[in-house]
Amino acid sequence: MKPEAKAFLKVKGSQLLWRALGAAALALCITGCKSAPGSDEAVHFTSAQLLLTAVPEGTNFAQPPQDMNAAGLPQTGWQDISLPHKVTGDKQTQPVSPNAVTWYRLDVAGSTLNEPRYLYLPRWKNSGQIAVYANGKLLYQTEGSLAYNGFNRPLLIRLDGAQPAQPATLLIRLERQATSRSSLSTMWVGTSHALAWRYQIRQFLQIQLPFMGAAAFLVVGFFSLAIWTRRRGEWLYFIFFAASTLTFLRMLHYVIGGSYLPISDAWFTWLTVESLLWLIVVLNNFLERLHRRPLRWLSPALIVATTLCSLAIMPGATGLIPDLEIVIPVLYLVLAPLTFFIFAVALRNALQSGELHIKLMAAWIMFSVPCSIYDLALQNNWVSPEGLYTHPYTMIGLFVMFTYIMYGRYMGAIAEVEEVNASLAKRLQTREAELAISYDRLREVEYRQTISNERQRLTQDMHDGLGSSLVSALRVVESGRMTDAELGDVLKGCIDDLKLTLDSMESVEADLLLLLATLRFRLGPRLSAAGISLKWEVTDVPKLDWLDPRNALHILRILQEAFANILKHTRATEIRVSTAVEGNGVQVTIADNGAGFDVDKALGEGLGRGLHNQQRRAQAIDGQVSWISGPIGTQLMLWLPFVRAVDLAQS
Amino acid sequence: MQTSTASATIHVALVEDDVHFQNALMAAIAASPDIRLTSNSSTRAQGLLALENPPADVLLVDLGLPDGSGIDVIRAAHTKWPTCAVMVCTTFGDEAHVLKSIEAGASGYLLKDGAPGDMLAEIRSLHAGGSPISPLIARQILTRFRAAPSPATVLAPEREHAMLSAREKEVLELITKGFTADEIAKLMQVSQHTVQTYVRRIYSKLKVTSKAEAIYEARSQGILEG
Repeated sequence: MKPEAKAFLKVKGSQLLWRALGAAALALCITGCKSAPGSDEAVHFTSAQLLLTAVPEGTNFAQPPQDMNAAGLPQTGWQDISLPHKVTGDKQTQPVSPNAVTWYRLDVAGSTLNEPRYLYLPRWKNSGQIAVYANGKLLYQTEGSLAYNGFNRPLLIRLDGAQPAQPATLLIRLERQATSRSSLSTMWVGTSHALAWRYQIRQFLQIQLPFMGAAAFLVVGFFSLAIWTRRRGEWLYFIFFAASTLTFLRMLHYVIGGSYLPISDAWFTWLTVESLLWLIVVLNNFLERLHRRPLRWLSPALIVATTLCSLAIMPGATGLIPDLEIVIPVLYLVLAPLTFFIFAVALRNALQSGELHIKLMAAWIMFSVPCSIYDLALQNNWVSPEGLYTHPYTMIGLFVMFTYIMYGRYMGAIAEVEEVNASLAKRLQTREAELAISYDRLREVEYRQTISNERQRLTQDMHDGLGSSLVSALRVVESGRMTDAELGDVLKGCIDDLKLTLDSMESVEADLLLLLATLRFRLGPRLSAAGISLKWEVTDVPKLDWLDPRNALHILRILQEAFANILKHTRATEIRVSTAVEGNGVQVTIADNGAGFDVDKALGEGLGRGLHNQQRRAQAIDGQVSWISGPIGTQLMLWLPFVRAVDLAQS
Repeated sequence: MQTSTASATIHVALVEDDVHFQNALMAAIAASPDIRLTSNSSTRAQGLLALENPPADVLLVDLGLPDGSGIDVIRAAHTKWPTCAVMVCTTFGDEAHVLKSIEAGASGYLLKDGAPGDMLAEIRSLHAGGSPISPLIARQILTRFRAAPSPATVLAPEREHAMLSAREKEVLELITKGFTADEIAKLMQVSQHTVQTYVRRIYSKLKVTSKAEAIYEARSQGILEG
C-alpha cells in the first residue's frame, strides 16, 4: 500500500502512566540511569499494513524463509489495520491452507539516526511461529513448540541486519494454527536508549515478577510442608504447601520461553489446566477451614468433579477429548461462573466469621475470579492484547495473605507457649506457696511432736528415777526405819538425778567428753566425800552426731548407775574413767578396784535390775554395755556407735 | 581446799528469801571464826538498801527474790561495792542462771545443796580470787567468744579484754573435758590458784563482752549517740 499509510506517532498522554511507572522502576532497578529518555528517539506504531497468505503445501511450520524481499510478496492485497491487532480464525480471512500466514508491514524509512534501531514488541500471542524481517532479511524467529513459544515474552530486536543503511521496511511473519487466535500489540521502533527501559519493565512485569512471586510462594510452601510433616494434624500447613505448588505450576506457562520443555505440549497444557482446577479446590478448602462454616457437600463434590475432569482431559487417557485447544476455553467458560459461585459462598461465610483476615482473604480470592475471567478474555482476544495477565498478581496477593495468616498462627503459637509458660510459672508459684504453708504446718507438727517427746522423756525419767526414789524413801521414813543421814543420802541422790536431768537438756554439741565432764562435775563431790579417788583418763574421741538430749540422758543414767553401784556394793578406793575408739564406735570404760561380782549370776537374779536397766538404755541408743568382774575389781564397758543404725539405714 | 590468804575476817552480805538456806548458811558462818555475816536481806529492795552500807567482801545473792530479780542487786553491787566479790546462790548451778549473773557482774556461784563446809570453802575461795565453773558453762563461754562480736564492733580500749588468751582458752577446753582445777594445774604446770584466777579473768571478760555487745546493739539501734 501507500507510504502514507504508515503512521508515525509521537509518545503522548496515554503513555504517561507507563513512563512514570517506568521511571520509578528504573530509578530503583537500573543503576546508572541518568534521566528519562527523550521521546523523539522512539516511534510508536499504532497501525500497520496486513497481508494474509497461504503456506505452500507440505511446508507447515517449516523454517521461515531467510530472505523475504518485499518484492517476494504480492504488492497488492495489503490492507491498513490499526494496532493492536487480533487475528481470529473466522472464515473471512481463512485461506485455503489450514495454516495461515499473516504478514505485518511497518515502514520505518527516513531515519537520520546514526546508531542501530530496535523493534520493541510488548506483547504478541500466536499458537505457531513468529519471525521478524528487516529489509527482507530474517532477524528473529521464535523457538520451541507451537504452543509454548514464549508467547508472553516481550521482544526487543536489534535492526542492524541491514547496516550500514538504516532499514526502511519491517516485516513480521505470523504463521498460526488455523483454529487458534493470534494477536499483536502496538510496536515501537527506536534507539536502545529509548526502548530498553520499556522492554525491561515489560519483562519485569510479565515474566520476572510473576516468577519471583511464585518461587517465593513455593519456598515458603516447602517450609510449610516441613512443619506439616512434624505436625500432621495442622492441615492448614499442607494446604499452604499445595496452594504454593499449584500456583507455581500455573505460573510456568506464562514465563517459559521457546526453549526446551521436558514434557510434551499436551501434558504441559494439561498440567496448566489441572493446577488451576485444583487451586480452586484447595483455596475453597482453605477458606472453609478458616471460616469454619463449610457446605458439607461442596468440598467432596469439588474433589470428585475435579478428579473426573482431570481424568477426562488427560492426554491419551480417553478418546473423548480430541483437541485441548478447543476444550480448554469451553472448560474455562464453564468454570468461571462455578468458581464465582464457590468463592461467593466462601465470602459470605467468611464475612460471618468476624475475623478480618479471613474476610480479606475470601474477598481477595473472590476478586481473583474476575481477574481470571479478564485473563480468559485476553487469551481469547476479547480485550486489547496490550494488557497483562492478572492471575500471577492475584496469586502474589494471595501469597502475601497466606503468609500473613500463617505468620499470625505462628505468632499465636509462640504467644500461646509463652502464656502456658507464664501460667506454669504462676502455678509453680502457687504450688510453692502451698508447699511453704504445708511445710510450716509440718514444722509446727514436728515442733509439737518434739515437745511431746520431751515431755514423755522427762515424765518417764521422773517416774523411773526421782519419783521411785522419793516414794521408796517415803515408805521407809513412814515405817520409821531410816536415819536422818540415810534420808539425806536419798534426797542428795534425788537432787543429783534432777541436776543430771537438767544438764541433759543442755546441748552438748555431740561432744561425749563434755557429757562425761558434766557427770563428773555433778557426781565428783559425792565420790570424793566417800573417799574414792577418780582417775580421769579420757582422750579425745570423734563427735557423736546422734547425741541429743534424750540419748545424752541414757548415757548419763547408765554411767550414774555404774557410779552408784560402785558406791553401794563395792569397797573401791579408786575409779578410773577412760575413753577409746573401738571399732566403729567409742568405748567408755569405768574400772574400780573394789570387790567384784558374778556378772552372769547378777544378771540372772532380780538383783540385777540395775544392770538390766543399763542394758535396756544401751540398746535404746544402739550401744552395748558389758562387765568384766573379778577379785581385783570390776570394769564396765559402754560401747557407743559413731553412727546409729537408724541413721545408717536412712543414708 | 584453798586456805584463806587474807588474815582479816571475810565480811559476807546475804540477799536470800529462802529461810532454810538462810539458817543453814548462818549456822555454818557462825561456826567459822574467819567469816562474819554483816547483813541479811530477804527482798530485792532490802538488798539494794543494804548496798548503801559500807561494802562487804563477799555478797551472796539469790536470783528469785519475791519483789524482783537478784540480777538488779548484782548490777548495783558492781557499781557501789566495786571491791566486793558477788556470788549467786543457785539450786542447780544451771548455765542459764549462772551466765546471766556473771554478765551482770557476779564472780561465782554457790550451790544451795552443798555441804556447809563446802559452802564456806567456796566463799573463801571466791574471796581469794578463785571462781567456780562447770563444764557446760565453760563450753558456753567458749562458744560465745568464738561467735563473739568481731574486734571491730568492740571499743578499742576494751578490745584486748574482749578476747580470750590462749591460756584461758586452754583452761576452758580442759574444763569441758572433765578435768578439775587441780588436774588442770598439773597439766599446765601452774598452781591451782592460777587456774582459778584464769577463770575469774574469763568471767570479767565475759562481762566486758556482754557490755560491749549491749553498747554496739544500742548504737546500731540509735539509742546511744556517737
